[in-house]
Amino acid sequence: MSKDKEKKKKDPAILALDLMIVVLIFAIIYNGATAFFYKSRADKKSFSQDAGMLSFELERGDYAGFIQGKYINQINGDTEAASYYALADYIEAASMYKVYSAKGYEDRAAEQKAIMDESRENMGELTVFADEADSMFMR
Amino acid sequence: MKCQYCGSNLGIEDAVCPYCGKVNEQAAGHQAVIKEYRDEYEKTKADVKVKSKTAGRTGRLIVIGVMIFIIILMRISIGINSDVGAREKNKEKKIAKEVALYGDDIDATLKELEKKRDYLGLNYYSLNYRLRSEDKYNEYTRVFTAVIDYSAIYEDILCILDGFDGYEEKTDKDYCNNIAIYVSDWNNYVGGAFWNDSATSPMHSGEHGAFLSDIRKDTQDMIQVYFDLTDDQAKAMWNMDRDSLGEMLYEKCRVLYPEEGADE
Repeated sequence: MSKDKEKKKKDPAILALDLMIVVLIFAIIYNGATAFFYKSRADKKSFSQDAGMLSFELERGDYAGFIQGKYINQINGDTEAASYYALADYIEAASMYKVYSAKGYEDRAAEQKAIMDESRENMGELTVFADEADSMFMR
Repeated sequence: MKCQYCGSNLGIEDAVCPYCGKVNEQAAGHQAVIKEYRDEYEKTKADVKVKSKTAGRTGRLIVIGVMIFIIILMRISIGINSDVGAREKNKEKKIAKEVALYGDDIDATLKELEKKRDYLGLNYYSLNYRLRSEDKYNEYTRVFTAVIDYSAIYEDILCILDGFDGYEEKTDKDYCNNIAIYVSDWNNYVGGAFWNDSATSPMHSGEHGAFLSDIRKDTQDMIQVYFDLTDDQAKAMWNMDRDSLGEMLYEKCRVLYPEEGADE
């Protein structure tokens, strides 16, 4: 019995090394995540924004930043947030529609109206923001 | 086997006869062999124990070494990529490379955006590829300035409408004054009066000239509609000083968008 116990007793140096390995595993996970975060940011060649950032701007009511985000993303071939882009197109077209309608530029107004209609179909659940934009521009 | 003295049965391990007490000589050789084996076994066991202990430590030390090496690489990567200056430099390099590589495509897109009078698109496109700093696009200089001004005015109008204070806590009065600055500076910096541009300059001729004329009119229309200006006021704003124009726009703004103006 005592012999078995003696057999099971581990070398304290090995125990210390095992503990160190566990600590290093956590250090690798932490540093790996941090390195990945900075690397992915560094790989972005422009001011491209993800859907989360677009959503943040929308929630804050920063329509100008929201529209800019759409343009920059599209220029860089980022098509992930399609429904947000549709909404940005809608807001821009609605703002222009107001100008062209008021000035009596019928063709240009009709062009913007067509963009608004098409965008509404592609924005999914974001139509609530399109309705807000409508009330904003119709004043 | 049997005891050679008393004839009793003996086991091979019995060194002495348990009955007569005499030495079991037949087993002596066997005992010596067993002892030799046992000694060797104990020696090997001790040897294995020491070696396995050493191997366990060495293996773990190797693993730790590799892990530390990986962490060092990660820290270097973090150091390089988290440095804002280095990152920006790297980004600019990539963009310059792309502009050099896809120059023809960029030229074609610029022409297309200019032809379509896509003011915002043209502004963000030139911003994205830093085209304003490229000598190659010098003839677009006034066009680029015009789309920057147009976009800034458009963004300021949107901020007034949606009540967004911006990241600098701007008020509607600030936005109106901004618009006034862009409009009052238009003749100088877009029209080129500040640099004494000639009418035949490549920056003002051909498609660029037509574009500059259109964007000016569209900017005027946009401001007129959103600030409810009369035709005369809209036409006259280009020649107004920035303070008077800012005041006029703000007065209109307070009447048209009173709820957004509450932040004054």
